[in-house]
Amino acid sequence: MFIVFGFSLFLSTAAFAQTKTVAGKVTDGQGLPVSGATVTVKGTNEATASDNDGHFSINAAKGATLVITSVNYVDQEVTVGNSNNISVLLSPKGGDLGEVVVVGYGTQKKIDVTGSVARVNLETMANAPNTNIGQYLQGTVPGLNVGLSTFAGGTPPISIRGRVTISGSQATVIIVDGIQYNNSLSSINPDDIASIDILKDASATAIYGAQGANGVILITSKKGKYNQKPRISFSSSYTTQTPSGGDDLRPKNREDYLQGIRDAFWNVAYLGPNYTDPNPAFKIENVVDASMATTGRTALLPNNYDWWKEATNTGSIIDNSLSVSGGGDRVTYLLSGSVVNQKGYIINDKFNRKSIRANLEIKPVNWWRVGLVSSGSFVNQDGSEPGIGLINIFSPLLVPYDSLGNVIPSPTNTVLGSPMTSYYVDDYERHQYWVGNIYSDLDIPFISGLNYRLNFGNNLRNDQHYYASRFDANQNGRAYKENQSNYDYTFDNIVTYNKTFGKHGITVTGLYGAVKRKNERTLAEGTGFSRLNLSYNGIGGADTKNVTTTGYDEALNYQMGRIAYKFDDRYLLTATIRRDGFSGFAKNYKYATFPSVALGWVITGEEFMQSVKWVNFLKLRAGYGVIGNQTTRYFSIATVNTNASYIYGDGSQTAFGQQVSTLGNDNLKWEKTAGLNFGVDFTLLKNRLSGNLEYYNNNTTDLLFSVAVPSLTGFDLFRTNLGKINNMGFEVGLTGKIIEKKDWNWTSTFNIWGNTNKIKHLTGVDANNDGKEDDIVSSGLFIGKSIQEIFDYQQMGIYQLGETLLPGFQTGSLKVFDKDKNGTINSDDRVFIGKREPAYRMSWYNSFGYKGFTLSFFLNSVQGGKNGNLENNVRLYFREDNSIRNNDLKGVDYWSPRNPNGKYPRIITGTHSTVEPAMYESRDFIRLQDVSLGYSFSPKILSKVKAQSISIYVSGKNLATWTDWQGWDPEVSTNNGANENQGRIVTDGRPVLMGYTVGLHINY
Amino acid sequence: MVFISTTNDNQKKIIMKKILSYLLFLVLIIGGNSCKKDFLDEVPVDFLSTSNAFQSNADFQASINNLYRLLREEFYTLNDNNVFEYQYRTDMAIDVTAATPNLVANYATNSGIMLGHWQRLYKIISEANTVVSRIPASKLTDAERKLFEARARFFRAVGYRSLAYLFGGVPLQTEEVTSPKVDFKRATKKEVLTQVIQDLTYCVTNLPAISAVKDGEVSIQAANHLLAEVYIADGQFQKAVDAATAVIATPNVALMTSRFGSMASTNPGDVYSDLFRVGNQNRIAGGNKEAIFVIQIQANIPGGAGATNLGFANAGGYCLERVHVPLVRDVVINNIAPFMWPAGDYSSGGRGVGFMAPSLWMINNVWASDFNNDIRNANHNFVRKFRVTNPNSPLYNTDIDFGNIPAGTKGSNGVTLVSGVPSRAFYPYQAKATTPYQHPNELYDPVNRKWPYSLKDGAAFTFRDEYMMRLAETYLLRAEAYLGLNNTILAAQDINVVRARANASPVLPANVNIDYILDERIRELGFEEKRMLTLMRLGKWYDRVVMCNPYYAAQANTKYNLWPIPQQEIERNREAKLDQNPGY
Repeated sequence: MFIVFGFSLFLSTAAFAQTKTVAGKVTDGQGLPVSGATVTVKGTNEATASDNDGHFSINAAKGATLVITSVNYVDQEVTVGNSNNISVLLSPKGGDLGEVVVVGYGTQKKIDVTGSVARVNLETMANAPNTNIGQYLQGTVPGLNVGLSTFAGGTPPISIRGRVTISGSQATVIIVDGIQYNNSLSSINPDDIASIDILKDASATAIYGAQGANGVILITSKKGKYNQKPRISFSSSYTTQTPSGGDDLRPKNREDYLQGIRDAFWNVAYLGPNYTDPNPAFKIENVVDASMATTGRTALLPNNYDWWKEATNTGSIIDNSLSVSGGGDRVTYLLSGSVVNQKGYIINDKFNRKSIRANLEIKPVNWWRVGLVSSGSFVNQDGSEPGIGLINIFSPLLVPYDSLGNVIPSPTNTVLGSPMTSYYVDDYERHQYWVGNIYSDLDIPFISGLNYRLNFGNNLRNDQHYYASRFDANQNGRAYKENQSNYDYTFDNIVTYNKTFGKHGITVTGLYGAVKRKNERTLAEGTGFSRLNLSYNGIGGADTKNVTTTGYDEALNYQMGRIAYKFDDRYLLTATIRRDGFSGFAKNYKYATFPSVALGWVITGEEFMQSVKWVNFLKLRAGYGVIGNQTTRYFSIATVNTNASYIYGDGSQTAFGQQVSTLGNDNLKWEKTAGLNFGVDFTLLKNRLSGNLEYYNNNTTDLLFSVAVPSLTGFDLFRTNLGKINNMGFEVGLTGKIIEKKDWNWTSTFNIWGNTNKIKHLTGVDANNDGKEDDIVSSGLFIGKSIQEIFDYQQMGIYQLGETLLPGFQTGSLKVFDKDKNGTINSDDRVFIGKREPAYRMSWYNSFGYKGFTLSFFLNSVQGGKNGNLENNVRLYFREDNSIRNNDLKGVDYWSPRNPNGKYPRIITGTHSTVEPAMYESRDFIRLQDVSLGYSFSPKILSKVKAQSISIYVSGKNLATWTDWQGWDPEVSTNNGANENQGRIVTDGRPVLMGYTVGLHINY
Repeated sequence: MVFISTTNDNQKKIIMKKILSYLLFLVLIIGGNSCKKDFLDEVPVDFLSTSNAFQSNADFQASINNLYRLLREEFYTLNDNNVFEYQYRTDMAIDVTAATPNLVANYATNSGIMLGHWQRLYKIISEANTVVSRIPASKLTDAERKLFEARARFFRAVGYRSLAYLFGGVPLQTEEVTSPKVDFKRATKKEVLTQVIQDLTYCVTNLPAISAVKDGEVSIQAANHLLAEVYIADGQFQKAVDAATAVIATPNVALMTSRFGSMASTNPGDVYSDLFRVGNQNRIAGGNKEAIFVIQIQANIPGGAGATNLGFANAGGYCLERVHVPLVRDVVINNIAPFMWPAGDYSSGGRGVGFMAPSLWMINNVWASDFNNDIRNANHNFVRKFRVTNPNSPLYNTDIDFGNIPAGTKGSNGVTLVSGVPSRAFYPYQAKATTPYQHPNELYDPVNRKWPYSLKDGAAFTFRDEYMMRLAETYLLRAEAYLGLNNTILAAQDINVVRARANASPVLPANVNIDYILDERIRELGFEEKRMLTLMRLGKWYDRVVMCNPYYAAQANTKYNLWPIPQQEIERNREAKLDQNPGY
């Protein structure tokens, strides 16, 4: 895999004058070398430029003035004294534009970046109780969309810019310290993170080729520095966890529950014709579930039990972390450890993470560095929650424990187990994450600027989930042990050549790499235990035993080349090409090539801008790139699954069977997105106002799509490439230093971004001969509309008493718009209602400082515009056993004759209506996501305790949300993952947690 | 390393050269060979692919095993809802939990009812097609080729036969689909039936005889039985007679006429009840000569579709007990519940929840001539009198008769029960829906045994093998065929073979007509046959529902003699039009 290479190189020779030689080094504010800075001796023609390490040497006489200029830095003058060594510190013109950002397979100064790259301001969230890195990202970068998780330690859904795929992967690539990371973000200790950079546009992500279509998040962990004395950091915080709002979404108490039953029986419980006067003959004990009345139905059970209270508690997060870092001449080190203990609001929603990290680098010789980035993370999620969906539907007339305090397995005498049966179980859930990345970084001797780096990254994850319950399997007992391991390695060879020739600067990067991933899973399960004394370690004693083993392998192989060229720090060019191979693609299309090119023009570097004093920095960028989308493995193969099918004859053994579950496609290929991006970076008004604007236009073709095929093929979907979708969007980020006084400051950052999605082409077929390409109605795809367009029945309120009903509908059910006015509701009556995706998102961060105090707040908002950001929030209800037996959420505005303006349907008969339309509601919201008040002790006090810094803070998270959405939370349902519906008015939704935190940071 | 910045033309050239050499370098890298040629080959480790799953005898047997599973799922074990769509909305049953039906919604083109059966039946066809298409390239011997093709074509025949009855002419696909076909066209019903006949004719030649197969496997006799039915549907009555005769004439295939099997000496009981005792359905294991094609269900073995530890919520078992047996839990007389529920006895009928009651036609009309002597109407076969099992009831150990309910008896939701009127808590049920005293041991509640045969809350399934075809039906099919040939004498003879076994009086040839045969099928095959298929095969859905079942009659419509083609299929079939059935 190593590449042997060589190429001739023109070695420049230096010219020396007769006077004294002065050597020096040019660095920026962060101690990083500034290359290509022009050093001239004032009043002469003597000139040189700093090399890659910032070093220069020039002939000058004592007393001469050296002028050091570099386009993006403020000019500096230094007088030559007795010393032959001079250090020059340049301060950047564009504020933080001088910082170095990670761009993938290397770093770049922000001022040199041509693509759309954004750095997350980790300071914003430093005092927030975030146990997952994903939470840090929420709202911080325009174009980066981060949702919410309602589980302890959970990773929120993350996406960048608009949705470029229909059924391909929507996962953003995450790179940790140069190595792609496929494990959960919940394994990473946020305190270990030095920086997070986001690559947004195609020209920036093209270096990740086939995986770049959904953007790239580059996470860099903290490291020690050479020649830095040991630095000890300690952070500690305590956070409370209680639900934010959702007070209406609690199970009803006894009285409300019984009223709900009366309303369900409104045609019996009340007297006609208005059905508002109670019917004295109606006896509720006759209609409640049999389990809630005494035998013989003489009376209701007397209970008013609060199941919700039983299943919840005040949660907390305790977070402690400690790190030691530093370095000598030849070694740098960072060692850290942290313990996070999160207890959610629902009992046993727990997350415990212990993490350790050792980042070491050794410099045996000046031109060779070897290092290790290693971490271990141990997550403990033992314990199983009571079923939250059940907690909400268990009647207050029932109780969980009998008179002896034992769990009643099935209070309703049905297979519906008590919610507490999933709580009183043995549940052992552990995840171990091991990261070991070794790198060798070689500055090839004698060839200045040539570097060869080898990264060998290893990720290992082991998961154990062991479980035993005596309640499961119809109370015969069930136990299982599930073991899973995931291992992947990355092997990257990176060659970089970095050279400055006068006003020309060039960085060439070549990459050859491979990735291999391997998964193995074993599940051993037993049901039917005469006793469960040995819990999950006694599966051998089960009546029925079942073993499942699964696994997969996948591999990637890729090459990449990149040239970054700049002239005079004014004109920037980056060109990349990447060739990618992935095992998951069909045999005819294993490889694809992804090129990109981007240009930058630093306008403030031009002569004519020197007089425009209020513009400190202005850069235009334009980039074009082609990127791909990686699909799931085995997507192209006609899969044959096996199952335990049948038995022949009484007492015979299992006959195993096989079934073809998917159609194969030998021609399945990469989904390609070609994207154009224009950007402006600017700093104005003496660096007081900075920001950037982005506009992008991406076209995705050969969309990986599982097109719906008639079931009469025996299949539901066929995986293929088709069509074209367009995503167009803008991003604006503005940061203002509104007040900058000695004791006072106020900084404000406002971000706004939006995306429009449109389908341009689909199959290219016009089967109905109307002269237009056909939509794929069965998949909900329409040319000219968004891929998240809603084409559905339009609900028109609720059928009231006495109102004429369309056939197949009932009083109390939702009315449907009869588009063709033919008196029948069928699929011809569907209309375009709106779309699911939001129109734009905003965030606003403010930080006020007064002496040692800092107050900050962070607002986050998602807005749909007209008919956007919609989601189904319907509650279907018709009278049958379960709806009578089950409790429901209070505060849901149901229709009944008593409440004719009720919003949600309630049907009395036991049959569904012909069509029960979804009710789409807007999910727009504004959230006060973070508020923080901190205090940093003054140097005077610090010197007494010999500390570098000490700060204490109180903060609040998710303190308020302003929305018309009536479900659990408008943001929770933004993902189309497993928890898709949790944000709606559903009984298995979960509240978003809010918390108050106290904490401190100490640095020695 | 110092460089003097005095740019000149020479240096520019040098720079250009360098850039070019770097690009060359990049191209070299990019063109580089990967470490191993097969690095990106995709080899699934935990599943097979069609390219390697159809080679050996064991491979093809695995596909056949799965076809049995799919068939069992569609007609018996999917859940407590969809499989009973073959009974609901017929002349024989009512949905006793709803005051009125909603046929408009049930038969809407977007209804899940039609789509579900369409999908499952076509999946059977698709899997069978794959077997047939993959045989030529396999390593099977000639004998194996014929055998597996015959087995696969049997299942394809069942699939297309069912689709043709329910939907009329449907698209005919007889080869493996390997590309995303979206331009299907409907064949005529005649074409579909012709295909079914071809398949079954192949089966009759190439399947083993019933004496040579394992319990549960298809045989020549099963193929002939089905062939007789399809010939009738196709109007070829003499061929139907011949096919049925081939079954009836098979040596050692006969109606059971004396008591047998696992509860042969238990009384009350008779040969008809013995047909439905646990363990009595199979030829080899149960000594049952009447059985032709038996769906295998066995408790607590993977592939047995009868896990006692699932409960109905996970389905996967046959929920006839749950769906058909009344919810006697809710019966209350003077504030006392007379029945201990759930229990594995006749009074509780297992753990029924009373969704699907017999129609009044089934309860009363069909038994008019032989109410007391027809053993199929004996109380242990069609339970109308329920023994009070609650010792605290003053009526303990007496019977409560559906035809004579004590005044003031309440049922579900406190409604007052009326003698002779089915109500969710109380109506006559077919004892074959449950397995009295024979529930699997795991379902009895030994810990909290509260009353005799008390069951756990997870009880729901009928844990017994099920007849897909038995000889009594073959006789009734041949009777239909004779009727089609206008030979009522022979038709009556066949019907009377069945009636004689049931101790019912013979029918006179003059009284034989299609309605009589349909009634006889209710008596003999009630809640056993897939009634919807029978009615729609004959195009008699509308007539029978109007005549026999007032619950549905008011909403009945002649268009419901065929189900609508599912709207979703019409939409997905983008490049050709699937015509909708008339009236929808």
